[in-house]
Amino acid sequence: MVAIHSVRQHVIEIKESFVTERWWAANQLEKEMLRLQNSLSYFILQPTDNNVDKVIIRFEVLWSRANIILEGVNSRTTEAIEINHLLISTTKKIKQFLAQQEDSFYGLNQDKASVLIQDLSLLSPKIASNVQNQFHMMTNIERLEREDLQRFFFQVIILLVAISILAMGYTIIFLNELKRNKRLVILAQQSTQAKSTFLAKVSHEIRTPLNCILGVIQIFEQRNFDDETRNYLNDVHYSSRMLLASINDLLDFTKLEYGGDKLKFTPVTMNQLLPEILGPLAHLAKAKSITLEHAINPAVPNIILLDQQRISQVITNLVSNAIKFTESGKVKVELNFKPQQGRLSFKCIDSGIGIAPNDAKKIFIPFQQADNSTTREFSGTGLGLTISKQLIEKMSGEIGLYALDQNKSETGSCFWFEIPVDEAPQLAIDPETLQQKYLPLQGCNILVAEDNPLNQKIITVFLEQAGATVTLAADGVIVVSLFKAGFNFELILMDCQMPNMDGYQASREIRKIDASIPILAVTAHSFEEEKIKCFEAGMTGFITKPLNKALLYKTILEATDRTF
Amino acid sequence: MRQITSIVLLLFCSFALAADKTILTLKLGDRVINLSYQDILEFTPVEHTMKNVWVNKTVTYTGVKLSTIIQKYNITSEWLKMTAINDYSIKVPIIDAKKGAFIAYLANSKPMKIRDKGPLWILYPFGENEELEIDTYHNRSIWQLKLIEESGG
Repeated sequence: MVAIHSVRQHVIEIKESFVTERWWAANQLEKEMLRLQNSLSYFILQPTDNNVDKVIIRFEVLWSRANIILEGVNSRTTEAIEINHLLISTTKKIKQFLAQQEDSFYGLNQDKASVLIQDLSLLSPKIASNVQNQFHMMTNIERLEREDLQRFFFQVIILLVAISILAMGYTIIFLNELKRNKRLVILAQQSTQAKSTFLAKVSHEIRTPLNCILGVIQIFEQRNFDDETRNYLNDVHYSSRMLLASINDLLDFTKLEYGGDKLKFTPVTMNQLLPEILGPLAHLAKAKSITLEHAINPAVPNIILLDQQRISQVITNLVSNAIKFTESGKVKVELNFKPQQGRLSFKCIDSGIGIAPNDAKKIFIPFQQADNSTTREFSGTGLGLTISKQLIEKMSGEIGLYALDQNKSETGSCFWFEIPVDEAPQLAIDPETLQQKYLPLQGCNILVAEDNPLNQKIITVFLEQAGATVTLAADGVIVVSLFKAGFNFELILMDCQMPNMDGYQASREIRKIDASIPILAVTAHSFEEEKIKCFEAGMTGFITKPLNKALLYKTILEATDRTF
Repeated sequence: MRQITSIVLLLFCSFALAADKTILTLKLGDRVINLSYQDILEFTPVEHTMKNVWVNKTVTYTGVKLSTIIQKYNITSEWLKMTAINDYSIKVPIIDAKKGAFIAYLANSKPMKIRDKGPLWILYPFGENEELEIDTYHNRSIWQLKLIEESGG
């Protein structure tokens, strides 16, 4: 549209400038004719040589003006220029007259001058009307240009209006999209929130009774029973452990899918940890008449920083897996250290049926188990290896498996992982060994807030076994009043969920009075938000249920600054 | 050179304008300088061949450069007001002298009659510089020049 307009404008401009020039030229022609007439009059009045020169000059100038008009037609021909034919014919007449009378002008006397004036006066009306004529042409063109411009602006305005309507339309649609997206985001967030809440609930509801079961079992294990009872006891313990493991797997996997907890690094002595982890698995192996061996390369540093719980989880998973896959022979665990890379290397080699390369890829994918064609049935949710992979990768490590060379007479597979580790300085305390020789919590006055009677029993037994003095409170109100009563407690174990007043509130109340006494939260939840909530309420430490005796002692020892 | 000058003067006379008659007046402050055709011929000439917008054929114009006049008479004003015989006037900036403006007095070696835009015609070296092909310089190409005055702006 703009292109068409500018072309039209250009043509009009050319027309306009030409027509205007013409008008000026016609104007000048008229003027010079008048001046010529005047100069002739002056001469008649005063026939001096000077005045003759003046007449001649005017004569020449008039001729030059006529030339300009006539030359203009020839030299500047552009399309569609309106030629004012009347003007041209008048100009030609004038030029003709001048040419014919040239001698008279150059040999001027008064008589000649009079004649010339009269002749000129015949021509002057014509030129006058030509000028007017040309003027109209000029204004016409101007009008055309104006109209064209107006039309153009009108079109532009319409276009602008159309564009702004479109723009408004788009904006409305866009805003609607935004609103919808916001709603979707909120829905998605609510969904995630609901899942988290559900997980927390499930976690609590399942772990609390399990805590009881395992606690009771641990108590029983201290007592003496006949072999038959002891076997039943072992079975119950084993089953409970399996149950706990499955549930933990499921919850872990879900947690890890959502981002999960942070890793907690503590100094770990692999020489002690590995046998501990493999201990229960020895049961499994023995039941299938498989030998379970382990070897720790001397290159492995004595104490390294690891997330003990998670590493145990992974190792347990890989080894139990190896045992599952193996019918007979042995499972060997090798721990090594690569000093240049600073990596801990773990290998679990079994003499089982091995794994086809295709299955090797699938095996770490959630919920998948190896190919059915081997007609193997094995229990498990199928998540164990996936979680292991998630955890190892969270530790910036690598995990994998390969089949042992099948040309040799032996078949089997090797599950391996490697993680970067740092060495740790020596530990001052070793609670495990201490527990057997000393009463580590001798003289420790502990206030325990716990509403569940069974849990109360368990905690009390654990603590008194270590030499501590235990005072029980069944709800938050009692805890606070007992605390205020001035019994000089060294530490408070605070269950978070209690009637009347929960652990958080009780902690806050206590903190109003005393800022220094250690308060350890005891809770079935292990989520990050839970920990933050506890710390915000003023608690200084954290223990998860089900209670692990050694961990409980260690945490209390650290909290009360007990060293040996 | 002398021969050419005399031939030219002869031609000029035949065009009925006395060779010693003033054809160009310079009004520079207090000074008034009257120049005749002969005076103008004595300046160093310059030649430009062109086909300009007013004359539809190639013509070689001989003239005197504006810068020559400016130097000779020490003209210092920023603008020069040029007036023609029919009293049309236009202001030309002095810097146009650098663009090669000249006062033409011969067309194809012949003096120009008044009816052919003579005797003096300010021209620029059209055809030699694309920058000049605009209205500004066309408007400044004043013919039938009779008067040059110093002007402020």
